[in-house]
Amino acid sequence: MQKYERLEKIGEGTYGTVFKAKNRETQEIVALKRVRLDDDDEGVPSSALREICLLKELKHKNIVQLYDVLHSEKKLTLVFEYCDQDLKKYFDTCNGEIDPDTVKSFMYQLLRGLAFCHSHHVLHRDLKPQNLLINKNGELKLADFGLARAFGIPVRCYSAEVVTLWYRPPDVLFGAKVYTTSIDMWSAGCIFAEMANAGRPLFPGNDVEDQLKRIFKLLGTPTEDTWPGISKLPDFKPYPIYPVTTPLASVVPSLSATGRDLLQRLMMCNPALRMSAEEGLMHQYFADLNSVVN
Amino acid sequence: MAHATRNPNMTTLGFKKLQSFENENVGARLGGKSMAVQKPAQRAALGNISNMVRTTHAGGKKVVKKELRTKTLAKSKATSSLQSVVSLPVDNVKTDICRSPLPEVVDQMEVDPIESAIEAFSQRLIDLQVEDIDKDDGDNPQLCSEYAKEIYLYMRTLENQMKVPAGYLDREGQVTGRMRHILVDWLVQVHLRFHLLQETLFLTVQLIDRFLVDHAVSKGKLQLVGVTAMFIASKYEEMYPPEINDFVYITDQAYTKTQIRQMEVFMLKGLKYSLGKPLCLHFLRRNSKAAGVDPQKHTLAKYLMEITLPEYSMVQYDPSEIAAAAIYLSMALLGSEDNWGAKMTHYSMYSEDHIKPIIQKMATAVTREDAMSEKYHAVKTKYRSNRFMTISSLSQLKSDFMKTLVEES
Repeated sequence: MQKYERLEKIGEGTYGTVFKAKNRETQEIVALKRVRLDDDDEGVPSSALREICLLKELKHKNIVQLYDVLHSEKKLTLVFEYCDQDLKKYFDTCNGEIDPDTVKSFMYQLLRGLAFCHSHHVLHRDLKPQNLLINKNGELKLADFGLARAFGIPVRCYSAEVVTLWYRPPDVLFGAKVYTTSIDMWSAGCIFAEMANAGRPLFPGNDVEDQLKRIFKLLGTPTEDTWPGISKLPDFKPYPIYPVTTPLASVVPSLSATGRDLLQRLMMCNPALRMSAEEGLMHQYFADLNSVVN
Repeated sequence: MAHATRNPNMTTLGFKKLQSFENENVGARLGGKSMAVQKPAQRAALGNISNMVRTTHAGGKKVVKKELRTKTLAKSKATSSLQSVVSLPVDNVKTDICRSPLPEVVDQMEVDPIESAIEAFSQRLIDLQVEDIDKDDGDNPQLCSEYAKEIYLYMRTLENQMKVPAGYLDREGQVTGRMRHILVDWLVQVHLRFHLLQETLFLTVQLIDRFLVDHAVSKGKLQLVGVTAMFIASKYEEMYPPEINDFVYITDQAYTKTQIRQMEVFMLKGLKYSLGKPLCLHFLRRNSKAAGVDPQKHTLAKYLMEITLPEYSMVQYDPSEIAAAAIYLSMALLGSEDNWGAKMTHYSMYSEDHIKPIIQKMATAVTREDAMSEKYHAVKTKYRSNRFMTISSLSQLKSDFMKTLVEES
């Protein structure tokens, strides 16, 4: 690896290790994701293959840019634009307080990146604070497309083993194999609430059952009336009917009324009713968006 | 689950085809190892396959009367719809997609060049009073009604960026269109045995073509390119792709795992890691929805698309063109009430005039009875099964209308 000087390890992705590095010629700082190709394995991992292919198509300011792919006998190296931190680390630096304008700006950028993915028939399927990168200009970028995939219309069956538990929508928790752009919108809603609370996760469940209970306790347990077809989902089982006792205002106290309305529309258990990224961008909450976000 | 279906017969399959390559003296060095070993015992399996074909043929004769009736029906119907030429601003659609109307001040990253095309597209929808086929899908998220128009236009720009030139193999190198035909025919069988998704097969052939456009390979490496393309396509499309060993196995050890892995890297680099060119399947679903066709017509269209896969004379057509021609021909053959009106022109994005030569070639591919089609008929055989509604045995495929199309081509 002559072109880049390796500086330090940043973390582990879905596959492979990520390093901070410097381009020896241009001095540009980049992130290198290294994937080992062992003699005895299946060649290029499908997660790496999909991430490379999809990111090649998705050129957008709110999606991490893939500069280059270096292929050698023993390893595959993905060269990405460098971002200073991810949203999770950003929360750590906030000390429990976050500026409402920053929340609004981040949420807008998240939705804009997602709308771009979805209109280019790509599902991210693993949105969480660790996979959202923040650079020093306050720009937010979707990263780690290791679980992402392109979808056709109509959407066909995909793996139900997607999305980190805390950000996984109820339909997928009930084993739904047919899902679409709505899968990412639930995660976006969870992240929105987490941002508003300066890093406190909305539904930090321990397992699938606990996860669903936490969701239903806050939003009310869905029924065939509110969500036709719910009882037909592969892993469906009845849950106690929790009354909605906690108003959203007490869950996300720092969020304005319009912000709470947006959150409510994203946190719909029935995926058919969940707001899309494109609709979200038009929401009243963003009417006074700081012009700095562009 | 998928593994259980990969039985030892696959070796036979690999062997059979490699033999064919040798016998015809077109791909003499495809897989040295298997060439050296003669396995007469496995001929029995080949016999079985051809017997099966003959039986189905015989069965087909029983419906001769019915065939005659539908023949005339299909003819009059379809011929009339072919004649009704519709002039619609199809060219404008294309122009809108191709050009990038971005004022210099606008950030390129932000404004999608196809956005203005979508607006124009929607406007035309209103102007033409074409029914909006997505409007009632709001509560079915599976159909992505919100993004459908955008996505299909985006697919058109992608296919435009990754075109395959006509006759690309003719320029140089050892590989011929005939060898490509034999390879694809074999891959159709491998795909069926591995129980893979339709998308995987179409992507495989697409990757082979796109790769071979820029890379001359020796005859002996053609099959390696073929299995590696399927290996890559499986990883991209399948939830549980076959293992690399399955691909070594299916070629009867003609290539090693290392060779496949090296070819994988070579091909991915050659393809610039772009595997996102749309498939005709994507467009067909749109066309079928717009036409409101029944499963039989949809299956026939799928068959018509698949029959073009081995056809070297059709490599230059875009997936959307193949999909439009397939639904057109299927509707014409099965006597659909709808003709190719403003609605189909709008949603398939092609006029009848544009797709007519493709339909003719498609008809030729279905009806050809030459030496090649005698030997390599994997797609026909596949679509003779119940799983595919025995669609390739349809009497309409031998109708006068089909003959007319072939003669015109």
